[in-house]
Formats: sequence, structure tokens, C-alpha cells
Amino acid sequence: MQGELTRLINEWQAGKPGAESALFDALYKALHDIALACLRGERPGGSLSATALVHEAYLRLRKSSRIEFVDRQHFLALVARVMRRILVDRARARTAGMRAANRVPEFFADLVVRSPQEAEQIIAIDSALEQLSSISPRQGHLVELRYFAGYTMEEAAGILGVSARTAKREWQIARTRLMGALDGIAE
Amino acid sequence: MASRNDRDETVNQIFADALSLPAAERLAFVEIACGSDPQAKVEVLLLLSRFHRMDRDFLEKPAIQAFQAEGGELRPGVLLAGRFRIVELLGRGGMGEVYRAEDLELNEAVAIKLIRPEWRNDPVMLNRFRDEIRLARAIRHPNVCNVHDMLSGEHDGRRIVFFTMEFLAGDTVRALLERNTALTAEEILDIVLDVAAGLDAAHRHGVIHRDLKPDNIILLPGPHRRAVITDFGLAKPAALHGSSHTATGLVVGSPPRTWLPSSAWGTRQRPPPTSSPWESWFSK
Repeated sequence: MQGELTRLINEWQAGKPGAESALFDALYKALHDIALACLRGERPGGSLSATALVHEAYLRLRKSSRIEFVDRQHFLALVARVMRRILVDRARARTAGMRAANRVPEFFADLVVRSPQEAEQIIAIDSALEQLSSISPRQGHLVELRYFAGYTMEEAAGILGVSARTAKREWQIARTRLMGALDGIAE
Repeated sequence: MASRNDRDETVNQIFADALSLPAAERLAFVEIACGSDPQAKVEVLLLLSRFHRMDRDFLEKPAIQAFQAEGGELRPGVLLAGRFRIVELLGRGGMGEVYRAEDLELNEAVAIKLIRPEWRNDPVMLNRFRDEIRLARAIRHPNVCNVHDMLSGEHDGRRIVFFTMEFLAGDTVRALLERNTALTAEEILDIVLDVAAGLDAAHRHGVIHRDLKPDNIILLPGPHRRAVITDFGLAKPAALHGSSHTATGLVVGSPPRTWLPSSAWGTRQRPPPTSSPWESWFSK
């Protein structure tokens, strides 16, 4: 499995067509498993920090393979996109009431959102974020990095290629505008 | 005429600049900054009012924190080491997941405690677990959860290292307290005496629990009620290197004769055992 990820990452970095979506799918499974391991307390330090999860993924990949990360920031941005998809999918699974007793879950151990309210909020934010991104891609990207991947302001700034100060300003703007989009959805 | 995006950008920047000022100065600033553009002013004020109404923590908590892990590493029905059929996940302790299982060899229920994945292939950790299981299972007492063995098995291509121990079909004291179960004074006294007896048995083997709490005391109901101490030295993922604490919580240090409870209670001191199986610890 690690060999597979290595190959996919190398192909993606080389710009091979279709490589990104194949890598996305592979990362989806890998990150889901790592998230579960973190939440089950199998990581040092106990409770999960979202940044720790992503770094865990990054470290595992680097350690077990000879990937030359040509563009680390680019990879971390991709990981954030995958995390977003995982979490929104899991939130939808809960609200759609798909956790019937005799339904075989996709993964036998699963990420479960703690309450229906939080599931609704995640789905709404995802939707509002789509809108925000179509108007202001950088702000949308920033929210994805900070909220779905849990990166710190400094890490997100690095990925976006701006200063931390700029990122902080953009963050307040993004949050406020997103709130407006959420209100719009609620209406 | 400025395009939509340019206008938005201007509005954004004025808004962000306003935020960096003390609240009392913001309105005046916006008036000046927006100058002859009433539309921009409206939009900035709208953003400011929204910002003001917004939850301080909105979006600050990463989405992953709204999630928890359901299910354990092993599913019900899995056969471990060709002998133990997993029944259900009981919980997660400091050391790893705990399951109820059926021992197919002896046709008995057992509790299975998995060692955390990151420790399973670590020779140092495994040696420590081996040494401590030898110690732990030397304590045979009705008020101490009996530890049986340490085994390993394969599952899903992964190596699983686990302990088997007595399965205790009862609630923890913690669970009872949380359900506001009323315990009579006599019941409480019985529990305390049971726990003291269990601790005494452990102390005679030079073992201190180090993590005694309501979560680690199980009450077995019925005609033969008794309290049983669990997670004896197999719970705390303490610091690994260089300390006198072992990874599993058993205290290594002075020989048992210095802290047998009988000495605390003023009775005659017991002589130390002639050959102590834990000598090797002291030479670390």
C-alpha cells in the first residue's frame, strides 16, 4: 500500500494525467485510517489535533518511502482537499440516517460525527464554502486549509504563499463572508 | 467603474483595516475611507455588523473535532490466534482497546487487551510487557483481575499483540456513580475492604497500582458480590525512557519490604523473599 502511494505521488508530481484523481482516492483511504487511529487514541499525545493528523500522514509517507517531495506545500494542500471530502462524506452519512443496524458500513470502523447538529453545520459550511470560493478563491482555500485540515495560520499562509499577517486579515474577511453565505443558505 | 471583484476587494481591505482599530474608532474610519462611495460604506458596515454578531469561535475549531471513532480495530466474530473469538469492544484504555472474547479452547469468556499498534513491533516495549505480565499474573487474588497470558496473532495482515485476562461481568464503580446508583454504607464498606485486600495482595508482590480510580474497580453483582481491581499496572502509557516507571505502570524501585502495608499497620514486618523474580529490574 505504501509502495502504491509512493508511485502515485511520484506520478502526480511528474504531472501525469489522471494521477491527481488516483492519488486523491488513495489518500482518502489512508487519511481515513489515520484519522481513526488518532481518534482511537493510538497516537502519542492522545487526543487528535487536526494538524497532527495531517503531519502524521505526511511523516508516514516520507518515512516508509523514498518520495522526494518536490512541492510539499502543494501536497499539503491536496491533503486538505481530501480531508474536506472525507469529513463532509462522513457528516452526510450521519444525517442521511444511513447508519441502520443491518447496513454494512463502508469501513468497518468509522468516523462518526458526534451529533446531528454538528453534521448539519459541517455540510452547510461546505456548501457556503463552495459559494465563497467561486467569488474569492483564496479566501475559500484558506477556510479549507484551516477548518477542514486544521492547519495553523502560519502553515496555511505558507501553503497559500502569503505572509502570516496577510493570512490573518484574509481569515477574518473569509469567516465573516462565510457567515453571510451561511445565513443566506439558512434563509 | 470598478468591477465587482475590485469593489469587493476594496470593501474587504477597508473592513480588515477597520478591524485593526479599536471598536470606538471604526465608524469614523469607515466614513473617511469610503468617502464618496455610499455603496461601499453599506457593505463594509454590513461586514462589521456581521463580524460583531459572529461567534468568536466560528470556524476556529477544526471540523475533525466534531468526530469520534466508532468500532475498534477488530470486528465481532474475528478469530484471534486461532483460539479467541471476539464478541464485542468493551472500551479503550491507556494501553489499547479492550474486548470481550470467547476462549474456544476452554469455553470461557475472557477479556482481551490489545497493545497499541505503535508498540507491537518495538522489542524494548515487548520485553517490558513480558516482564510485567510475569509479575502481574503472580498476583492471584479474588479482588485482583487475573491476568492469564500474553499472546500474538495475525489479523488483516497485521500482527496483534494482546493480553488475556479474566472477564469481569460487572459495572465499574465509575459507571455506577454516573448512574447515581445509591450504595448503602455497608456496600461501600465491602468495596473498600475488597479493594484493600486486593491492594495488599499486590503489595506483597512488590506491585503498586499507581492509577487506582473508580474506572478501575469493577463490581461483580449477585450472591457472591465482590469488587475487583483491574488495569493493574497495565494501564498507564508512562514515559518510556530512563525513569523508574515502567511503561505499564508497575513501580520499580525499592524492594518490597520497605512498603508492605503490614508495616504501615504496625504488624510484624515480613522478611523479603529470598529470590526476587524482579531483581533484573533494579539493575537497569
